[in-house]
Amino acid sequence: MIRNFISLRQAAVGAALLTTITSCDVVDQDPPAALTTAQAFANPDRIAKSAVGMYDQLQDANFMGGRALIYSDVRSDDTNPAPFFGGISTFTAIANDGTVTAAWTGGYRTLYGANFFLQQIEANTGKTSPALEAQYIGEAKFIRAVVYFQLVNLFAQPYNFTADASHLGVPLQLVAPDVTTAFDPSQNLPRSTVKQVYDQIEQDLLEAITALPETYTTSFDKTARATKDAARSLLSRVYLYKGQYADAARLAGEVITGGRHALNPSPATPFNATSYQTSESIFSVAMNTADNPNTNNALGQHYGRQRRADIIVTPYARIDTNQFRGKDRRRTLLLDPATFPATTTTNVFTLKYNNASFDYVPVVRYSETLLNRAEGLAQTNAGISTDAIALLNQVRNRSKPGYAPAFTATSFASKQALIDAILFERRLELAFEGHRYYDLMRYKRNSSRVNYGAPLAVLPIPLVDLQQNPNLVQNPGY
Amino acid sequence: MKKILFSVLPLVAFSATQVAAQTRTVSGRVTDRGTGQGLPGVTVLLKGTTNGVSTNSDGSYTLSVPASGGTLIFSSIGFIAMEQPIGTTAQVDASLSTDAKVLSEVVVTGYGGSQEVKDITGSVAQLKEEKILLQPVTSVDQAMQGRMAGVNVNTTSGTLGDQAAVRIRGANSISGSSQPLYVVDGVPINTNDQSNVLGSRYNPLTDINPNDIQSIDVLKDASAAAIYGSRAANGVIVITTKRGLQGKPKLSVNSFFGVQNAVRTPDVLNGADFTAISNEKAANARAGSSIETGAGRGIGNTGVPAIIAAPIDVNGDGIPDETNWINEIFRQGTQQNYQVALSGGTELASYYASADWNDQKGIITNNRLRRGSGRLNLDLTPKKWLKSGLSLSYSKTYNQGVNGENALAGATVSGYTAPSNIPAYNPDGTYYLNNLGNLGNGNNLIPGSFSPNAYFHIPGNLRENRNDNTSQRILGNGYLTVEPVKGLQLTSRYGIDYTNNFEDQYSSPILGGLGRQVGQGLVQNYTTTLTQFNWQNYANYDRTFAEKHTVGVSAGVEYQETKTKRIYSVANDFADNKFQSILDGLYSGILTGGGQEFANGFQSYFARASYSFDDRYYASFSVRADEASTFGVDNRRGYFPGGSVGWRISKESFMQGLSFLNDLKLRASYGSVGNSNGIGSYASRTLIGGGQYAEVNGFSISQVGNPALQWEKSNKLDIGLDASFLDSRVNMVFDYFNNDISGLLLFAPVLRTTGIPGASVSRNIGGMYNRGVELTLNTVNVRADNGFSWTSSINGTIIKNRVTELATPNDIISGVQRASVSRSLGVYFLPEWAGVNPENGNAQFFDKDGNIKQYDAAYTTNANATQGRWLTATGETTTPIGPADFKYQDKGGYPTFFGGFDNTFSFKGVELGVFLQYSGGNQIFNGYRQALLSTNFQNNIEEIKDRWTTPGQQTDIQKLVLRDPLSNQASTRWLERGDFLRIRQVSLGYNLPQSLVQRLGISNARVYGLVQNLYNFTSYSGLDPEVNTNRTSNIAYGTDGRSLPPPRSFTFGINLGI
Repeated sequence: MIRNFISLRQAAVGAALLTTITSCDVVDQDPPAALTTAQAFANPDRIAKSAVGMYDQLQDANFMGGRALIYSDVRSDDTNPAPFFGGISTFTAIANDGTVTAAWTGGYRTLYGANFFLQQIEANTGKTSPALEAQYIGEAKFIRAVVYFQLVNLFAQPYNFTADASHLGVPLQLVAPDVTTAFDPSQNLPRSTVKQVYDQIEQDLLEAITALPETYTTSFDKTARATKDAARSLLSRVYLYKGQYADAARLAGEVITGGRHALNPSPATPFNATSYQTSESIFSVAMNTADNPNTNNALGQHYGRQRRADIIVTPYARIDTNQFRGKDRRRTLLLDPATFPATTTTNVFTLKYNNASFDYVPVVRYSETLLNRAEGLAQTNAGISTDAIALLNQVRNRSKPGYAPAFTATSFASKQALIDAILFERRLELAFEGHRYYDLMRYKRNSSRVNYGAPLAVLPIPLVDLQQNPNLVQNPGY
Repeated sequence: MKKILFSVLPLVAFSATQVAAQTRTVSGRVTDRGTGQGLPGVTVLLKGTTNGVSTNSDGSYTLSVPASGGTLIFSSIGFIAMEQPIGTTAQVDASLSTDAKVLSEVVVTGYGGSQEVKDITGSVAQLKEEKILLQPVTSVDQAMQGRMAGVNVNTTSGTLGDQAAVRIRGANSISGSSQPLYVVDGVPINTNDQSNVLGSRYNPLTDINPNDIQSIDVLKDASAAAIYGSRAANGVIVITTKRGLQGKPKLSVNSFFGVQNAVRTPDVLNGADFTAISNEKAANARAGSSIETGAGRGIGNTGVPAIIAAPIDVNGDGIPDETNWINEIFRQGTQQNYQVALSGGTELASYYASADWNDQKGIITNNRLRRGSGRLNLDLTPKKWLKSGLSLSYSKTYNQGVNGENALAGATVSGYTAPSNIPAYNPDGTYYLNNLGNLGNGNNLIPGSFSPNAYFHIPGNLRENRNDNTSQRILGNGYLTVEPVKGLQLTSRYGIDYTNNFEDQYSSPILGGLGRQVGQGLVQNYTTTLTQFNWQNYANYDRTFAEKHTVGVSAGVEYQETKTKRIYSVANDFADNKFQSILDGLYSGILTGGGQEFANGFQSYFARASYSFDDRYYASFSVRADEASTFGVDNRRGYFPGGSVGWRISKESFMQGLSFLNDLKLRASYGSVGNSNGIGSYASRTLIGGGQYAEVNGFSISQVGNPALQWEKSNKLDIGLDASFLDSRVNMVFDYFNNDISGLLLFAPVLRTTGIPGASVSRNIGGMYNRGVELTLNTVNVRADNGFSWTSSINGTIIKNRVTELATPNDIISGVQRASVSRSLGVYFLPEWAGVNPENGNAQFFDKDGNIKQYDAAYTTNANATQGRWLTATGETTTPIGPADFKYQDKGGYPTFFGGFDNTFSFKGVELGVFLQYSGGNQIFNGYRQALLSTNFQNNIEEIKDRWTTPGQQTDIQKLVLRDPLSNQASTRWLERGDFLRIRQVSLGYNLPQSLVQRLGISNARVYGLVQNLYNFTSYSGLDPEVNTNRTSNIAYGTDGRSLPPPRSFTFGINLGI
C-alpha cells in the first residue's frame, strides 16, 4: 500500500516534469537595430530618412569621406610622396594594393546606396509626396554623378586621352543587386568607355538639376544636401574636363546669376569648424564628432600636423613667392608654418583640415564655380576675356596681399597666359580639395612624379574583381 | 558520471570513532595490475569495521588498525576487490585487476548519457584529470595540445589571454567557425570571443579553472556528436567538472610557481648598422638603375636625401646613443597559482568546492593576467527515486593586455622596427619623443616620407596606455531527476552562462595617438554582457533483459537563447594626467557613447536508442531536429541523424584460443551533423539600420540577406578498431574517418562592383572533405620487479583535405591563401621567387612559363620619383609579374600530420614525464621575415647584412632600394616548411614517503618541477613555427604575422592532500 502511494507520487512528479516541455519561442528573433526593406519605405517619414541614408553612404571612409580627394592630391605636384596610402602617391601601386582596392570598393558601395534607393522609391511610388519623391530621386542621381566622376578619374585616363574618349573607363553599375542577382553572370560588368561614363554623369546631373530644389530651409541642408546649384557647378566642371567650355561657362553662370552664393571675406572661413555651412560651400559631405570616417580615414587625420600627419605639402608651400606671395592669405592663414620653407626637408602642413575627424569634405565650393566660368569664358573668347579676368580677380583679390596688383587686361600677353593664370589660381585656391592632379592631366601636363599619359598615371583595376570578372580589363602597365 | 553516482553503494560510513585501544599504523600502495601505476581513490577498509580510508593520488594510503590481526579490503569501481590479511607487517600493498564486467572508464555522451569506454562504437577521445592537473596552463584548450589523436590545438601566440585554435579532424568550415562546441557539465557554453571590440584579448575558456576538470571527452565522429546536431560538425568537447564522492572529506591544496622567457627574439640591427643600412637604401634610390639602358640613363631619385639616418648623442657622453628595443619590450614572465579544493559526501549528499587564484605576468612588459575563481558542485539524493544538484562557478579575470601584431603601436610591430640609433629616454628619465609624442627622430629624417607610418615609443605605450579587460562569468546549471519506475529517469536541467566583460582602454596624452589628438587623454569603455540560457528536458530508459539484452532509449527537448548587449562610453580632455577613468567632473570632452544588441535562439528535439547483446554486438541510433533563429525562414529546421554498430570479435568462440589478445572490437559509424557557429545572429536578413548623416538621422542598408540560408552539413564516416594485447599492456585505438561537408556556408564574396555592403552575401554552396587516419597506442614498456616502470602513449593523425565545390566561379581569397576547388584549404597562391641576380642585385621571379623576370627597383626617368621597371633575364623591358604568373603551391597552411608522444618513468615515488609534440606537412608564410627585411626606413634583422652589394655576389637578399614596393612582395621566397618536433613538457615529480607525510599530519604530498617548451627541433627561420596570426581565419591559416611566440617556462609545484 505504502509502496503504491510512493509510486503515485513519483508518477506525479514525473508528469509535472514532462509538462514543463511547453513551447518557448526562441527562434523568432527580431533584429533590434534594423528595419526590413518594406518598413524602411513604408511612410513619408521613413522614406525621408532612407533618403538621408544615401548621404550616410556617401560618407564612405574610403571614398567621399575624404580619401577620393586625397588620391588626386597626393599624386600632384603639391605634396610629398605619402607612403601611408599604399603605392598610390609613389606610382608603385600593384593590382592588389589594399588602398586602391578599398577606394574601388568604397566607390561602388556608395553607388549601392543611391541605386538601392532609386529601386525602392520606384517600387514604393506614391507613399510620399510627388515633390519630395522627385527631390529624393534628384539627390540619388547627384550622388551617383559625384561618385562616377571620382571613379572615372581615379581609374581611367583623362577624357582627352583619346579623341573620342573611347578608351576604357569604369563599369557602369546602375542597379543594386540582391542575393538572387549578385552572383548572376550579368553582374560581370565590362568597363564602359570614358565617354559612356561621362554621358551617364551628364545625364544624371541634368536630371538632378531638374528635380532638385534651388535651396533648403536649414543651413545644414543648404550645404550638406544636393541643390540645383551643386549639380550645375559639378556639371560645369564635368564640361571643363570634356573640353565643352561654353557649356561649362553657361552652367557656372547660372549659379552665379542665381545669387544664392558668395565668397566669405576670408579664404580660411570655409575650413573653420564653426563655419562649414556658409553659402560659399555649395556642397560638402558633412561630418560631426559622432559621425565621421574615424581617426584612420578622416581628412584632418591625414593632413593635420598634430594628427597622423601623413601628407606633407612642402612642394605647394615652395611655389615661387613672386606668384604665390609670401603674404597671400592662403599661405598665412592656411599653411603651417606660414613662412616660405627654406629647404625641401622643412615639413609644411595645410590648415584646411586639422580636426581629429569631423572636417567637412568640400565637393563644390563657390570659388571653383567662379573659376569654372572664368576658364570657360577665357577658352571660348577669341581674345582675352575681361569677364574672365573679373571672375579671376574676384577669387584672387580675397587672398592676395595689397602690394600685389590686381589683374587687368594688360596683365596677360595672350589668351593662353590668361588661361594659365586661371589654372594657377585653381591650384592655389582649390589646393587639397581633389582638383590639382586632374587639372594637370586634362591639360595634358605632367605632374612632378609622373607624366601625362603614363600608364601608371591611373590606378590599377583591383585584382580581386579582375580575377572574378572575365569581362574586366586591366589598365596597361599593371 | 551519473552512472557512477547511482551505482556506487556506500563503501565507507566514516566515523570519528577511532579504535581506542592499542593501535598500529599500516601503510602501502595500491597499483593497477595492468599498468603498474598507482590507483587513487581506492577504498581501503578494515574488514568487519567502518574503519577505512581512500588512497591518494599516487595510490598510497595509511590506516590505523588494531595491534594485531585484521584483514584489509581494497575496492574500487571497475576493479575486482581483493582482501589482504595484515599479518605483522606495517606495509600492505595491493595490486588490483580490472573488472571487465564493471565499467572501468566512462565517457560522457550528453543529455544524461554515458558510455563505458569498452562499449564505444563511435569515436571519442578522452583526457583525464591527471594530465590536465599537471600542466601549468590557464585554460583548458592549452592542456589538450598534442594529447589526443585527431585533435590539433594551436596556441598561436604567447600573448596572455589569446584563444587557441582547436581543430578536430581538420578545419571543417570555410567561412563559419571551425572551433568545436564546448559542453560543460551538460550545458553548451559560449566560446565565441565576443570581447575584442577594442582589440583586447579574451579567451572565454580562461574562465574555467583547469584544476576543477575531471575529464574532457572529445566527440569526434557523427554517431557520438549527432545528439548535438546542428552545432556538432566541428566536434564536441564535453568537459566534466569534479564532483564529491561518498567517503571521508578530502582537502587538497595545489600550488605552483614558474618563470617564463621568450625562446627567441629578433636579432635587430644595432645603431651603427641601422644607420649604415638606412643610408645605403637611400643611396641606392638616389643612384638610379645600375643598368645603363633606356631613358633612365644616369637618372636617380634625387628627391631622396643622401643621408636619412645619422647618430645622435642626447646625453652628451660622447658616445652615439643606441637602444635595443627588444630588451626594452621583453622581460621574464612569472606565473603563480594557488588552489584549494574540498570534497566529500554521504549517501544523501555530496559536494565539491574549490577556489583558485592565478597571477601570470607575460613576457612583454605590463602584460598580466589575474584570475580568481570559485566553484560549488552539489548533488542531493533525498529519495532513492529523486536526485537533484547544481554546478556553479564564478570567475573574474583581469587581463592587462598589450597591443599586438594588429596595431601600429603593437609591441611586435613598432617595437621590432623602431630605429636603434636613438635613445629610449632623455637624460632626465622621460621618454624620448618628438613633437607629436611619437618616438623621437634623433638625427634621422622624419620617417613619414620614407615609411608608411610613424614609430611609436613602445615601452612608453606599454606603460602609459591601458588595454585592459575584466571579465566576470557565472556558469551554472541545476538539475532534477526522478526515477518513477526502475530504469526510467526524467531530467530537467536549466543552465545559464552569464558573462560581463568590461574593456577599458586609455590613451595617454603624453604619447602620439588618440589620447593626444583629442585632447588631454582618451578613455574608451565597453561593457559587453552575454546571457545564455539553456533548458533541457529529457527522459532516459536503460534496462538489461535476460542478462544479455541491454537497451537504452533517450528522448528530449532543448531550448537555448543567447543575448549579447554592449554599451560603451568615451571621454576625453581630462583635468589631469592622474585622472584616467570616466568619473564625474574629471573631463571636459564627451565623445559619443552607444551600444549594440543581438540575440539568437535554438529549439530542438532529440532521441537516441541503443542496443547491445552480450557485450558482443552493438547498435545505436540518434537523431536531432534543430530549429535556429539565425537561418532563413524557409530553412530554419534541420534534421541530423547518426548511427553506429560494433562487434567485439574477441568474444566470439573462434577467438578464444588467442591468449595474447585481451580485447578486439570493430566499430563503424555514419551520420550527419551541422555547423552554425560563427555566423552572425541575423545572417539571413536584409538589414536596414541606422544611417546617421552628421546630425541628421537616416536609414542605410548594412546587409543583403539570403532568406534561403541554412546550416552547413557534414556527413561523417568513421571505421575503427580497438584492441588490447599482452595482458592489456598494449592498448590500441585506430580510426579511419571521412568528413564530407556539403552546403558549406560561405560569406561568399561578390564583385566589388555590385556595391553590396561587406562585398559578400551569406550562401550555402561549397563542399570539402577531410579524410584521414588516427592511431593511439598506450603501452607499458617496462614493469620491473624492483618497482621501476615505463609507460608511454603515442598518438598520431594523418589528414587530407580537399575543397570540392565553391559557389563562386573563382577561388575565395584570404591574404596569400585560397580556397580553391580540388586543392587543400589554405593553399598558397604566389609568384615564384627566382633568387637575386648576382650581376646587379635585382630581385627575380619566374613568369608563368618559367622565364626569369627581374625587378630593377632603382630605375627612374624622373628625378623626383623612383619608378622601377621589369626586365627580362637579358635586360629587355617587359611586362610586370602579375596574377597570371602566380602558381598554386603544393602545400597549404594546415599541418597534414600531427600528434604527441608521452612517456612516464616511475620508480619508488619518483616520476619522470617526457612529452613530445610533433606537427608538419604544412608551409608557413613567414611574414615576420618579410616585414623585418623591408626596404622602408625602419630597422631590420641582422640577416639584412647579407644584401647584395657587389656584382658577382651570390645572396638571397636583393640590392636595397628605399621603399622598393615589389622586390619583397609576397612570393615563395617567404614560404617555409612548418614541420617541428617540440619537447613540450619534461616533468619530474616526487611523492614524499608515507612515513614522512604522516609525521606532517597529512595524507599525501607531492612536489614537482617541470619545463614547458624546452626545445623545438625545426628548420623554420621565424621565431616559432606554431605562431599563427590569423586565429579565426579558416583560409589564411598559418601566416606568421609577428605574433608573440609561446614562451619557455620553468615551473615548481606542490600538491598536498589532507
